[in-house]
Amino acid sequence: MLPALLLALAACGDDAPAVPAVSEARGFAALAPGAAAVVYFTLHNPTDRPLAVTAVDSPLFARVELHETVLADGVARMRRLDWPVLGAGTEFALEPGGRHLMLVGPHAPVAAGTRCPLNLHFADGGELALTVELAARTGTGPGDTPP
Amino acid sequence: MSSTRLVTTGLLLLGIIAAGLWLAADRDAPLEQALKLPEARPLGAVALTDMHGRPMTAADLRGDWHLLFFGFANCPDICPITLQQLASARRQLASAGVEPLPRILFISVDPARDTPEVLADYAARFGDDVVAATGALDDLRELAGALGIYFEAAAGVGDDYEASHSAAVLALNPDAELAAVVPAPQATAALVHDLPILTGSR
Repeated sequence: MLPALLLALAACGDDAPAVPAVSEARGFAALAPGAAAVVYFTLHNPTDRPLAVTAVDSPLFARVELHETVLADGVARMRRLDWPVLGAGTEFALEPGGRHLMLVGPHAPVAAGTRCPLNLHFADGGELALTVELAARTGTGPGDTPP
Repeated sequence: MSSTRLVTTGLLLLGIIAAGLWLAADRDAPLEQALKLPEARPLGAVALTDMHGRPMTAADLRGDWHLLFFGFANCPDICPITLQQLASARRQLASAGVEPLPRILFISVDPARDTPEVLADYAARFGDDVVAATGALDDLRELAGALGIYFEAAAGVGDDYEASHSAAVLALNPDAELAAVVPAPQATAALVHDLPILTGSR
């Protein structure tokens, strides 16, 4: 039994090489015409090498930027961040009220419910494609808010 | 026998005193997050334009509690999150039968882009009891000054610019005076706890 289990685990490790992955991806459509949409997710780097993000783009928007809401002395500011370099075995979380992707300059109006493709580009030439539904912000909606 | 009655009466009295103390304590229950001003502060002149394009003055804010938040419709993260929290807190209070319920007032510091039409659409997403308004930058500055809060007019290039603004939620009493400040980051549960204490409905 035990050898079989170990064998299964080993096989599992061989079949599923550790690759960058995204979890908990969610987003919201803009609340004003032409405004930016927002996307949150956690990027995982399970590899044994650093993972440098060099760009993120979407066919629906002119550009995608990494921003952070910073609360200092009661004042909320947004500042733009450089793309991160994830150490081996680490993750990078985007969360409401903190770091977020800004999808800027919609090529055409992007309605709530749109499934938005995103491409993450890495320094080693790798790519990661995902699709995020841009939900509507409502007073009763999914309530993607901090506690 | 009489000593038993004495003890019973004593216990009853103690119970009444304890209940009185409990009620008093509840009325002055500690606030989790809101900071109550020792004395409510008048707003001074209010010269805004609401989301229907109508003038809004201090008189329009009298008669109801208001939860006031400064922001702008192009703000993708903290502004809608805060409005979601306020709407959620209000909804929880409504289902608990709490009265009076505060109205939610969103004041845009980005009058160039946030036309009444944009604001009407924006406010409607968060519920029927959300009112949005904006005004000339000088008038917004005067109001912010009276409220003791900060905002920076949007700056940038073309349509691509941002404003920084106080993230505090301000509670205005039915006399249109600043009664309390809820500093950021707000927690929905703390809002639900504190609002009935502020409005005196508990």
